[in-house]
Amino acid sequence: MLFNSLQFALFFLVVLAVFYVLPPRVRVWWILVSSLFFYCFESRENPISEQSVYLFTAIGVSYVTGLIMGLIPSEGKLKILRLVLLLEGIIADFGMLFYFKYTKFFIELINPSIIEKGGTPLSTDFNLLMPIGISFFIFTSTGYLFDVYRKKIEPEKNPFYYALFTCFFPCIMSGPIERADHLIPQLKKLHEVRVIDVDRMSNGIVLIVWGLFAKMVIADRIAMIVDNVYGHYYNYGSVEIIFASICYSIQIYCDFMSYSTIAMGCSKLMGIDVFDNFEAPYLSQSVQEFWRRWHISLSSWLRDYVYIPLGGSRCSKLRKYLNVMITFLVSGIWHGAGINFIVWGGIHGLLQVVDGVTAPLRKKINELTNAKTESFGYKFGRGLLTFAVVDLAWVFFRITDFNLAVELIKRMFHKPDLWLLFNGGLYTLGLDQKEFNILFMAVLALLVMDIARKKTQKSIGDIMIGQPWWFRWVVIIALFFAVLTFGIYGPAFDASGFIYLQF
Amino acid sequence: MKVKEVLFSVLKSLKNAVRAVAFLLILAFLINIWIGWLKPKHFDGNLMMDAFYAQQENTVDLLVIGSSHTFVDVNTGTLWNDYGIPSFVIGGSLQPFWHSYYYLREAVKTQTPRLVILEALACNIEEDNTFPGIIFNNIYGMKWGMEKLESLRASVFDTDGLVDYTLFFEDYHNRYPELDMLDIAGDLGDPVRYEDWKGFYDYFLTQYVDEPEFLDDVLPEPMVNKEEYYYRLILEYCRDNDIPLLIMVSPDGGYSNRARSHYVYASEIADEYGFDFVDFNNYYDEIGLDFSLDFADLGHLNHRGNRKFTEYLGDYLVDNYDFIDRRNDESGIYDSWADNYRYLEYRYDNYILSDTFDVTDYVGRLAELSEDYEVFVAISDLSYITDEMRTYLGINGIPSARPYDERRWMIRGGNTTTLYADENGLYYEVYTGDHHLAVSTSGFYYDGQDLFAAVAGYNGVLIVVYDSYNQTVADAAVVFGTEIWRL
Repeated sequence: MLFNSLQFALFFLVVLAVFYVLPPRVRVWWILVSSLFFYCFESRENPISEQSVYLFTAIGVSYVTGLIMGLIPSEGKLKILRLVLLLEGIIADFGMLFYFKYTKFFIELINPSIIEKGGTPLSTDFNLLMPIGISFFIFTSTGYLFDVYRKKIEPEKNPFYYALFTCFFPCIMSGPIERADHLIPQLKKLHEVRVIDVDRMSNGIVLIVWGLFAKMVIADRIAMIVDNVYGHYYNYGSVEIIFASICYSIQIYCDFMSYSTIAMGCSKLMGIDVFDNFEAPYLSQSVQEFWRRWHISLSSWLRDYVYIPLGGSRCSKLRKYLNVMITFLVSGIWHGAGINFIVWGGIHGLLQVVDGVTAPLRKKINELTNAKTESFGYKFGRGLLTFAVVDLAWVFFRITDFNLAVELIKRMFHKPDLWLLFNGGLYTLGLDQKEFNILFMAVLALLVMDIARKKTQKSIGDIMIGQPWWFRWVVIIALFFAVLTFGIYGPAFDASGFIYLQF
Repeated sequence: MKVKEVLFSVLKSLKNAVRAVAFLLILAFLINIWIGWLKPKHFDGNLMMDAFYAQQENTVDLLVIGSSHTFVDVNTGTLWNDYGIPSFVIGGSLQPFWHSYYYLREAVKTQTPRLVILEALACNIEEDNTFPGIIFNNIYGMKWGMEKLESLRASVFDTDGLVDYTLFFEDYHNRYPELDMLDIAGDLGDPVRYEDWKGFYDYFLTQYVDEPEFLDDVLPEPMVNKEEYYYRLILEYCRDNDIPLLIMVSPDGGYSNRARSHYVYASEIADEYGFDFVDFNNYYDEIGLDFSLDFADLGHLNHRGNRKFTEYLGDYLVDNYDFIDRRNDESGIYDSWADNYRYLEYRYDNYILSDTFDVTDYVGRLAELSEDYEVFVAISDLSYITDEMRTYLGINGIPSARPYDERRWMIRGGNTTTLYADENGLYYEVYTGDHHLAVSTSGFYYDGQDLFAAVAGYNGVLIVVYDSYNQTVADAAVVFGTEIWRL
């Protein structure tokens, strides 16, 4: 039941209609039932014991662990027990995650040395079907345990609220990764949500149509260029490969941002605010800023539960850089079991280390050259450079074969035929001129929206709330018809999956 | 104070509710426009059904249902002009019997035909006859109702397919790359045809076809099970509802012994139900078909062939069935059949004119054009000109001396108007319906297209014939000596 599928549209309309009709006190149970149905429906291809049981285990383990932890005083001799319980919860949660996500990867990693020593390689001839959304619900429940351990929150006593916090259907598949102190209080106040709240509803609708626009008009369309050029890279020169890599940057942004935005919109219609996961990341001035704007719920999770426990920045510089590298390597591994993801995470960590190390030098150079660091030109240059390095790193994210990724990057630096940008050559990469023009206009709209987001520091929905009602109507209607007309859907296409669902 | 607050809250809620309703109404209105623009506009199946729904109730005496053989072979103009039979053709390309069945049920909701003709090509179709094009052409034109849903259900194999096609907007949206201004017009820029259309399509093309050879007596061969099931349903439906039915096979260049065996089988079923079955492939000589001239392609008659066949069919119908000659009806409810005939004949004449390559014949046809035609003439060089053309120009008062190259002429019904260019180089322009014709110093332009783009640089007499009845360019030709050049 993808967010861009008809099934989800029908499901959500029913959920919403019943939500508004039910007595307010029953709403939270209805959302819990709907979330469980949503998850089980998604897992229907496999027996319930094979899929949903892992979700229920994660919920049960972290709920009980949190509850017991709450009973143990944080001071005195028994406090060690709290740490033991935290470790137990983490091992249980991450054990599941590692088992499904990384077993094959590690076997493949150690098999060469087994063979070298004359042993029989371990079999990789098995298919571990990863439970849907496992990376997300594991992170949600682990974050909860950390927060209880740190006494940031009180353990949730009501198992149903806790279960809903973990499996809230808009977020379970692909985030945003919610925090207990943010979501649970809202769940407890669901009965106070007004049925007719035009601002909230139009906010939610704007988010949903904008998300659908980003996914169906931009991401799925631009994917045709990316798939074609990356799939047949040997037919193309440097300009085409650079262009395709830029397209991939836009594709993955729109794809993932759209999911989070639709999740926000759906939640908003039910009176719940979930985290905004993206804040115009490609308008960042540095890689560090990029990570403050990209997949914010994951970045902040890694910051709070990996980087800070490692010592964060309140330690020696060397240790701080090591912490940064470890955090980004964890981020890479979280995204997938593969060398390419580790390299991708490593590049991002390294770029931040280089950024930190060279900061004094850059400052000196800027002073000596009177660089006017507040000027548009300077910021534009920095933004462009940041985009370029992030874009290059995405190659390792997209191409699972490390050697091929390196080969593609090498090809980007071959002698470019720049006429391709003007002689219609771009129309032969997977989209004809008409489709290309539609894409161009849509990306332009994305840019305008991101600039507005960066300037106002608000979500799309909140920006629209500040506009006159007729303007909101025009935007909603324009986006709706753009999706209806130019969206990639219908019998000729399968509803394309979201890239981040695989993580 | 409290009352005031409650009142304020109620008013606010009311205002929000009104606003939400207004938004939904605007959205619904715009969706309706969107549907109008993007809905498939094939003449067969789609616009044909729009035209059918536009017919006055109980005016169609003859309803013809079937495959493409119906809408290119059965000329509704000829049936009207020669026999006074108001007929309508509901046909779709490769139309299977299940579509025909539901079309029939849909049609009799508003019409009480004196005869239904079921064209039987579907007996002879052996491949899987369920693919998107078929659904587009044969169902999407139908109004929403049980017939349409049942027709869809019969066309797809699984629930997903049924959902996909029932939610038509998915298919509509696939049309966006081909969308043009004529989609917005809704009638593909052919308003005259659309207003009075009866479902018949003149196929202006000629292809040499070998006359089929087949045995007179062949053994019956069953048709595909699903086709037979719906074929029988049609027959049962007509029998149970006292609807006179004729099953026919129209002349087919691809006719074979195998096809004949299926038709024999179908005729035996027709006998069971007491309906007539006529295979017109048995009457090539009686119809007068010339296989070298009368076919547009292997399966379809062209503009000459359909007229011959329809005359033969019309004779058969009036001899065997109970029709009333409606030409004498003065109530006006059949006027659109007369208009349809006029439209078809103008189109036919236009084609003949544009297919004439002999200058003598051409000049003769120009001289016979009615007042509905405007002939625009431009002369670049009279060095090479036949006597006939010189005479034609002379009779219409067009001088043979310079500066003829600085003038243009418009001839209508024997009257000639000399056209002079304005300061922008424009001699004449006319907007008709969705179309635009401009005569300027740079050429003749129809809807922005240079009519002589392909023959630029040739000297001679440039002639554009505009059919103002059908709002279309009937011909654009360069007459150079004894030759005629066209786009």
